[in-house]
Amino acid sequence: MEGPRMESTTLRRDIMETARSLFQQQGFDQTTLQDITSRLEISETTVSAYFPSIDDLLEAVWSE
Amino acid sequence: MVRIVKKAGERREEIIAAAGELFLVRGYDRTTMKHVMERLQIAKGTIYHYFKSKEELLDAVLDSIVANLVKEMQAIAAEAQGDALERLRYLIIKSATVDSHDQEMLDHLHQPGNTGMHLRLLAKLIILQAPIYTEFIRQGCEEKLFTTEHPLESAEFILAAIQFLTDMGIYPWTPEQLTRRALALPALVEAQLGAPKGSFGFMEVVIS
Repeated sequence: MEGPRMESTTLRRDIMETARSLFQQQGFDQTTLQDITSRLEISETTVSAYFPSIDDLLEAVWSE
Repeated sequence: MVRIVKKAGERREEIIAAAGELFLVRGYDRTTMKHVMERLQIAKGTIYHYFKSKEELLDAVLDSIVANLVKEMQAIAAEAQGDALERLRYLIIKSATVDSHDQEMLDHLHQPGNTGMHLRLLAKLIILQAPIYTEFIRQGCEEKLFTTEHPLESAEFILAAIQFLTDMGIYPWTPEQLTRRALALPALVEAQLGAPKGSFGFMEVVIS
């Protein structure tokens, strides 16, 4: 149990940190979900398991 | 939908005002970007454009609340006449009414979820109010009423004692406990400023 949970927490964190840095660099409006997935080499489906939309991702990054 | 183009400063102020209300009423933790967005009918990206984090927005909200309070206190200070003791007395008594007149905001700040916000507000308020008191304390030193060598720091310590330790939202004192603090306060201020004994006796009434 411990292993996979750790991994998913790390991936969630990676998605958030990548999004944070892209939002900062190019602005939220200029950032697409694809920019984030291609940087992390993961699929959009994987991201949507954690964040249903890019707006949700922004909300999470912004609220922290 | 008609797109309303607003000046950047105006939009920023609007976000601060809406967020301030939401933070107070809903609580900081329970307020989301979506709430602010829906209140103002703007996109999430717009909020992000002005405030890179919720923390940054909170800071702007607190700055705005404190700026308004300090402005009121500066107006009171400008009205204060006489020697330093008379002016301080006027400022302290009148400021107590400024602090308590926005009862609705105080009630919200005293909600359990708003403790962090409340503490940060007090911290900012003490630092920004201190220069107003410092001016009067310096005047008192020139008039040989006070002997402190640290007017600014004295102002900060006194304000911290008044605003923090006697805040019922932070310390839920019983009336008796609050009275004991109020009775001890004049001596603290007099010692801090090197002021004549009894000259700040009026503060007992202001606090209790």
